[in-house]
Amino acid sequence: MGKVGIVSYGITKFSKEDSKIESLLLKSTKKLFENSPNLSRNDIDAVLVSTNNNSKYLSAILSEMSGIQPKISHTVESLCNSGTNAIVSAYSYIASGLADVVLVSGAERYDSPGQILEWDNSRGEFKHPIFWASIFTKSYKREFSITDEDLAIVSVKNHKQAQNNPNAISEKEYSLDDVLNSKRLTDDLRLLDCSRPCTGGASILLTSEDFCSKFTDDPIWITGIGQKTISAGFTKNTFDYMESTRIAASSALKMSKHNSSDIDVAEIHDAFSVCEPMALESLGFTDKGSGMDMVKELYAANNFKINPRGGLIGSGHPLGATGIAQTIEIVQQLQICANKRQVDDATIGLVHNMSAAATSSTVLILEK
Amino acid sequence: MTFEDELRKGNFQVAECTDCKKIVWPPSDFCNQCFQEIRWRKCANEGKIIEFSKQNNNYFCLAEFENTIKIIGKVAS
Ligand SMILES: [Zn+2]
Repeated sequence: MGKVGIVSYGITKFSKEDSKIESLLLKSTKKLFENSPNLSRNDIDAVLVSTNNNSKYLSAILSEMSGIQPKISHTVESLCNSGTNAIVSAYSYIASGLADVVLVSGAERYDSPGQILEWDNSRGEFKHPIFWASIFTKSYKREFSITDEDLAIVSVKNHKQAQNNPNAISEKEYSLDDVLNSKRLTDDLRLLDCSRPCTGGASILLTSEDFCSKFTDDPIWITGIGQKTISAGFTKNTFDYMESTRIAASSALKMSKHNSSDIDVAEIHDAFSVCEPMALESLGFTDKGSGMDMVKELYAANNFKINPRGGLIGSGHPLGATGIAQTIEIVQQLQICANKRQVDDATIGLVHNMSAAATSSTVLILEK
Repeated sequence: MTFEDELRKGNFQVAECTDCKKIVWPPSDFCNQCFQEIRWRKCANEGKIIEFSKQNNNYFCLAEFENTIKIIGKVAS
C-alpha cells in the first residue's frame, strides 16, 4: 500500500454568517486552488463533501461549480466527525488505487441540523448536546474530584490560543471569572464551556505518493488512522472517559508505529470544556484523572501543544468542516507555517475528531 | 403502537426479544443480537439514578432500569 499525502488546503473564516452551503464549499475550494498553482481541474479523480446539511447532491454541485468532472463524487456524513471520515474515505480511495488525487471539502451553516440526533430515544426529551455534556461533566467532576474552576481553564486557554488564529470565531480572551460567570446553561455547564455551532468551510487535497511532488515540496503524510464507533445512542456510552477515542488512538498509533509520547502537537475535539481533559486521558497523553493537570501545565507554560488553533471552543464548530480544519492546523504546524501558533520542533501530529458524545471517534497521525 | 406514543401517555415500554429475551435499546424493530421479533412490554417502574444535573429549577438525570438500559429523564419532585 502506497503512502498518502496532504498537499494543499483552503479554509474560510468561521463566523455566524448566513451563507448558502454551496457557497461555503466553493469558497474554501477556491482558496485551495489558489494555494496550488500546479493543480488543474483534470487532475482530480474524486470530490468528497463533508457536511450535515440536508441539501442533496452537494459533491456533484461543488464539482460543477469548480469545473471538475471527477470519477468519484459523493457526500460523507457522520455528525461531528464527518470531516475526518471524509479524509479517511479519500485515503482509502488513494490507497486502493481507485484515485490518485482527491479533493475533500467540508462545510456547515450555523443552523446545522447535525446538532440533534432525533433517533436517540435514550436521551428522552433531552436531545440537545448540552445535556450529554452536563452528564459527562458531572461524572468527570465526581470521579476525579475536579471543580468548575478547574474546567474553566480549558476555555480560557483555548480562547487565548484562538486569538492567534485568523479564521477563529472567537475574537477575545476570557478570564477564569468570565467563564465561571458566563450564562449558566445547567448546574454543570456554562455558555463559555461550549463550542459554538457556526458557519465555515475547509478543504484539503490528498494525493498518492507519486503525485505529491507535482503540488508541493512539503507533503504531510497520513501515517496512522484509527476509528471506532461504540453506538449511536448516548446511554450505551462511558461517561467519564471516551472508550471510542481510546480504541481509535490505539489503532492509529499502532499503524504509525508511534507512542502517544512521540506526538508533538494535537488537535483535540473539545466540544465542551470537559472533553479536553477526558480526551487527553483517553488518547493516552496522560493518566486517567490527570487531564486537567496537563491542561494547567500547558496553559501556565504558554505551550500551544494541545489545540494550537484554539480547538472547537476557540475556533467555532462548523460540524462538517471541523475535522478538516483540525487536520489543516496540524499540516500547518508540521510545515512550520503556523505563525504565532507554531509549536517548537513539530514533526509528528495527531487529530482527534469525534461525534455525539464520543460514541464514535477518529484519530489521525500526520508526519513530515 | 410506537415507543413515543406510549411514552406520551405515560407508559414506559421496552422492546424485548421474543427469542433471546434481551431488551433492545434504544427501541428498534427487531432484536439487535439475533434479529428475531420483539414484543413490547412494560418496563420496571423503579430505576437507579446514575447521574444528574439541573437546568433552571428542574433536575434531569441518567437513570438505569432493570440493570440494563439507561435513559435521560426529568426528576419530578
Ligand atoms: Zn434476540
